[in-house]
Amino acid sequence: MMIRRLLILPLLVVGLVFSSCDGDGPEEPKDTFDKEAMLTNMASGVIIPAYEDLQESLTNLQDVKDVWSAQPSASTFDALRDQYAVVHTKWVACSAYEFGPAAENNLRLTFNTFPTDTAQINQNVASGNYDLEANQNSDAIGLPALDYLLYFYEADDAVVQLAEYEGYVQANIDLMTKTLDAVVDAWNASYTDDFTSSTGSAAGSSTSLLVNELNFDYELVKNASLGIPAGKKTLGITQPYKVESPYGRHSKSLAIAHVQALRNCFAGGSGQGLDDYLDNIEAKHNGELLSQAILDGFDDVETKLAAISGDLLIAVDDEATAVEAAYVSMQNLVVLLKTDMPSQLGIQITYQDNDGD
Amino acid sequence: MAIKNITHNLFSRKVSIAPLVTFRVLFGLVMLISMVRFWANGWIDMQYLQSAMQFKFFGFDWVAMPPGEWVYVLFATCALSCVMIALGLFYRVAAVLFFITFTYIELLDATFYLNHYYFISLVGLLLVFLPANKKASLDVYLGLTSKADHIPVLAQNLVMFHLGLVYFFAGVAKLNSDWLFHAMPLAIWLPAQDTLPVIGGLLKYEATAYIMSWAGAIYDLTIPFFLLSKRFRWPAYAAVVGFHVVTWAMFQIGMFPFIMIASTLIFFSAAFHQRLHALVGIRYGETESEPTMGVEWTTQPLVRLAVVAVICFQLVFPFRHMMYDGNLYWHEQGYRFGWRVMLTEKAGYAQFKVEDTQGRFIYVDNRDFLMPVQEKMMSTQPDFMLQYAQFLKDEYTAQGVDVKAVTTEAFVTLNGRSSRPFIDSSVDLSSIEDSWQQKDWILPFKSDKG
Repeated sequence: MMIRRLLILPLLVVGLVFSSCDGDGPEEPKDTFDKEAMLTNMASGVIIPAYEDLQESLTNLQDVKDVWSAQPSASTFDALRDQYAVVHTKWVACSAYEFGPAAENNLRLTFNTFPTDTAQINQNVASGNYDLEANQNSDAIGLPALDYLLYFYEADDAVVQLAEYEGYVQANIDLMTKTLDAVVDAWNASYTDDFTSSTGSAAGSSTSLLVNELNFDYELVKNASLGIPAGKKTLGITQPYKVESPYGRHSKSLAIAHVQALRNCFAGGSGQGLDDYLDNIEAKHNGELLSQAILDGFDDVETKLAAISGDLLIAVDDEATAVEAAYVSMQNLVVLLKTDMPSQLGIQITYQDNDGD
Repeated sequence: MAIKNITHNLFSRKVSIAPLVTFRVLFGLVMLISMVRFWANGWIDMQYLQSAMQFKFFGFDWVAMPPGEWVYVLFATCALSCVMIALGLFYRVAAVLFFITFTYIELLDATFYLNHYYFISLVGLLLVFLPANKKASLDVYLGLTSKADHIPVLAQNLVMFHLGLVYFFAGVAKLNSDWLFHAMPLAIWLPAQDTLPVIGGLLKYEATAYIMSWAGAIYDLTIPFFLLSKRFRWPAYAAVVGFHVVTWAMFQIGMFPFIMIASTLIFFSAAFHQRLHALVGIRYGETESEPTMGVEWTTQPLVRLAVVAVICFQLVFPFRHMMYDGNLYWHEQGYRFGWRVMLTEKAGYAQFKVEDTQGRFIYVDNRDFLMPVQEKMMSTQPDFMLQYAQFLKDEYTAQGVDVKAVTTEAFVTLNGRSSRPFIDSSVDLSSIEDSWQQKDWILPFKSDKG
């Protein structure tokens, strides 16, 4: 008897819940967000274009390098340096997508492991005998290596004339081109379909990868590009030469471009992005839209970085207050990106079993 | 007289061993699969060999990581003991081995704490004392133990008590305003699963989150009783299977659904289990005159006292959070070992700072020391923060830093609320010893919803 009465309870509750909804007329689903459309936009409107831009800039780099090789002069060398800076700027827009093909090909490690190992580079250039894909060269490749090669040897024309030097520049261009081509080919072959059809929220789903890697890359800018040079890990003792481009001194513009790219990633370019997803589920932060709070956060970081007048190499010592302001601004945004956003989206970031506590 | 009847029914009445045998075999097999799955996923390496530090349970900081690759031996031994339990080979030794190895693994790093691991440890300990190898076992076949078709009911009751515990307390934990009146965290989790086949379309509706929250609470609170009733056992078991399959499809909860689906079979009648066993040629005697096990041990005062003590402990321990002020889901003091499952959507961020005696700071990048899952867990669990602060103090002292204090600026979001400051950032966490005392350096919970 008792048990029969207990059985009625669930039915009663279900009835109650339904009847309480009746008043508002037929209920619209709260979440009508088309995740596949967002992922399609991220792939074809943001990620692949970023890779293709980088590809194009690398092709141009090869062209100006060929011109310089054929006619070594101050002006052809300057053109080479300028194009390197373009490639580096295009790279930071690709940095946040280190999953799938990029992860398999170690794209970020290949393009942008810094600080670069100058002793290893010197040794490689001197010997002319190296395998850039070997482990001992993992810190002596990519854009930071070019930054060193193209700007540090400046004073010594004799070195620049060496065939070994030219060969090392070429080997790095080849390595980056080959790695990037493999990534782009994979996206164009089948990965785009895999990416856009993985619409869940579990670890490894595309939304989880995007959110997770956006966070990882954001912390990379905060820590590696700004925090470490500013002495955040070393009791305030600055380490200027740990900036991203210590020789070409593009560190500040790279940091700004990087933050802009991360904002663009969050906003889905001009299409559907994580911001729209957050708006759709009405995610709020202190009463305002969470997406707006995050976009404002990105804008504030950009403003604070732009307020630094010299390159970070100099600024970490000479403009400590401005650098500190930029760092604090970046710090404030981490909280929204790393706690509020994934939590509101119900995203799992780790693969391990959990029971939600 | 009445009391005698009750104790007879709870302790000494003779019942068929069949349900306990099914339980022993299935538990051994499911746990074997669980260990193999863990190994195959590469989690032994990922969780136990890659980490620079491990978080410990309060009182268990002495549990040391086995040297080098020996943790694999630990897992292999545990898996082997599962096989031996299922086969009923050297059963008592196997159960001891299982309990020790499994519990040891769980104590290695509290990051990976799950309620069902705690449950498995408790069952492992229980199995040591139960006569589950007295039928359909290699021990009987080899003559290592006497055969029994009937055993005292206590054995079965203890298993059922522990199963009921998991459900009932999970239900009690759901009786909070977030769960019942805001459908949190299901209102976040369900829409995120809207691409699931069949039920995906329904998960977009807010009403679905409310219905499932209430249904889940009622299910957890009542299912043990429905399973006990002869009349509702089949529909109740169908509900068990349905509930666990749905949660398995939606959440990353690992082996828990299968452990429960297999274990709750013990609620079925002896006749059911005997028919099941007949399928593989295991026969049971018709009457109690068949080989049977003595019931005398169940009347010993020491045994009864132990049983009562275990029951009292399990009924009281989950409520220890009442010793602490504030919102349990926020401060998590007394949270673990209380069957609180899938109750919170919680995320945090903790920026630790190491200050030296000259007032200079090191901003800690957690990824330098913690795996992603460790960072995630540490960022919302204050006792882990104490351990981490201590670790950082030792780490940087070893690097030659004259450490004065380790503080943190931490933010936590709970069940969809805006992230809020979590920890008093002026407190030197490295100078605090963990204890049962109220952690008054956790900032009070503030809600921006009703």
